[in-house]
Amino acid sequence: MLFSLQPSLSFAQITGGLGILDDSVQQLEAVQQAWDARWQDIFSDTSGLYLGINQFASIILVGAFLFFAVGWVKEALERGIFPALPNVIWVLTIAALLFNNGALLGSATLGIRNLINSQTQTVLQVQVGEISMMEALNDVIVSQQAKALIQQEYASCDAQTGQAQVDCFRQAGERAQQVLEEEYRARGFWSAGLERLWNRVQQITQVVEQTYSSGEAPIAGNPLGDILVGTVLQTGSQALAEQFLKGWQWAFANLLEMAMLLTGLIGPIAVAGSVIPLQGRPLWAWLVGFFSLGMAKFSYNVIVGLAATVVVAANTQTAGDFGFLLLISVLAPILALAIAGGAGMAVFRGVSGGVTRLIAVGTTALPIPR
Amino acid sequence: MKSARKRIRPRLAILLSASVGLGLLGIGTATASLLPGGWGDAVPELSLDNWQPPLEDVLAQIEQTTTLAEETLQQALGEQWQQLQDWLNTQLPEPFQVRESEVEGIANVLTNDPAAQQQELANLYDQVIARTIAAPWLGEQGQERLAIEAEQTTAVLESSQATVQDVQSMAEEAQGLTVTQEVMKQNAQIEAAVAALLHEQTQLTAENQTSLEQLQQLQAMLAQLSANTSAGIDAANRREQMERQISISGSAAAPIYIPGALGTENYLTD
Repeated sequence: MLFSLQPSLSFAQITGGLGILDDSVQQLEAVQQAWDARWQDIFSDTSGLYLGINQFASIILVGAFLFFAVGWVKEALERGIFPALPNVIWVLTIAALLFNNGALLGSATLGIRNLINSQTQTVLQVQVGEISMMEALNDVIVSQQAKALIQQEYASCDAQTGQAQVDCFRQAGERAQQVLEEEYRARGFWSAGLERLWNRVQQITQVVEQTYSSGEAPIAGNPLGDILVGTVLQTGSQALAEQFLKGWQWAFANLLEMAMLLTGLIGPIAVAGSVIPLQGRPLWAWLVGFFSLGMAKFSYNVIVGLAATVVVAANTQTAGDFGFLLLISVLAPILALAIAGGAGMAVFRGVSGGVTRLIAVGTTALPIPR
Repeated sequence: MKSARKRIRPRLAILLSASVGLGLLGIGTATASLLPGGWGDAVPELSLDNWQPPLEDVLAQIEQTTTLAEETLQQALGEQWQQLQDWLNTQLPEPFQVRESEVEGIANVLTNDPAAQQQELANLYDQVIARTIAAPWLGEQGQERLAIEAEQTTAVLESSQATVQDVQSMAEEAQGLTVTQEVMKQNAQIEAAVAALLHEQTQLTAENQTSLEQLQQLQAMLAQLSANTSAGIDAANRREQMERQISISGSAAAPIYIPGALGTENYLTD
């Protein structure tokens, strides 16, 4: 299945498509496209997985219909046909949703997911101060990735000494500038974070050469040492910690997508279970659950986007990497899930309450000897 | 007139007797040296035959070391050895040339830093050179070399001892000869004593030579161990560098995925 990117204001467009730094952006796009492809595949008519779920749902539907029939007949006899009519409409709606292996329900699920994503994207493009959250996010992430790339170039310089060290810094600076230049050529402009990185790389090369030629105190002894250490030098443990945080973030983001997909998948079962005329129908619980996950995704994006705008506004794209990573990897997920937690609990209560009532109805309606 | 002649005669007699005496002493010495059991030519010839000229020895050692170094470097560097020779335009580059010259393009899969690459190459080169210099002094080759040197030393000692014995026997024979002057006999004894002293010195020199050989062996072993230590440190450095490189590269390459940030409406199915 092929996907094509339509021209619109998107993350990919902001970051361009040719620079070395685009690896990270391309990865992001690739992951997004892969998830889109999974959704398209699973919720299409030919999907074996969704077909299997629908078949399972049809079995539940048959069983639930028996409960419905018993309850409806009882209600119709007691209260008349008209008061019991809404339940019939419910059944018809459910039948329509599940008709043709849940084609309508599948499309609706996909539509809701797309709606959540598009709304998220729209909100991210809203200007907050002088910059949109999307642009800020882009700046911070690309700056962070660029800094990591630059740190990679300087990695072996601290093991050198004398002229070899100066040469190492100069050559690493040239390579780093080349990376940034390629990015500039690919995109046609630099974000503020990248421009700052460019200036710092130049500054560091100059200061290193000057320090060695003048025989002054070592670079770590003056304020520029902080720039040097903060910008281009990184220990293995720092890198490992950052890698861990990024891995954590990646895992959370994918888990969120996975949770939404799985929730979408069990839709037919929830819809089939809604045939039974209960106070809290599983359909609502399912919908609330699905939206709550969408809410978590939306909240996460907004939290991360707002944090990025703060970082950009404070001009600390390259200074606060670790804190930003900690925020987007650990704290933002916790906060987003906490915000969406209410809805999640509603799903749990809805489903568990539904099952309890189901059993209660079963025990009262069926002629079970006492 | 007569009294003056009488004064001159005793002086003439003394001069004549001294000349005759000295002449007889010279003839006696010459005769003694020509007598059977005198100094022959065999001893110096023997020592010269057994002693290898030091220059040839050194040249042979250098040639051997160079060949070994080239073979080892060929094995260690593979095709890059030829490139290195071409770059530096020499058959066996000096270690400082490898360390300081602009040597580019030495392939190293694990690092792209030219300074680190050159440092590793120079270290490797030093290690190979140290090992090849140590090689002639160690192992089977070293044992052979030591055996040859020992044989040569033994031969020199034997010839020295033979010479001493000859001199001593000559001195003993001189005691029985009809030389009137006692000083000549004493001279012969002194010569014998000097020869004995010389032999002792030769013996000491030979012992020094043996100690030097053993010291060189020990030195070679130390060079070998130094090369091993250097290689070990290099390996540890590489490992540490690699660990850090992997951490930093991993951190740089780790993706960040913001779910839903790109939206989904832009992606259309074909």
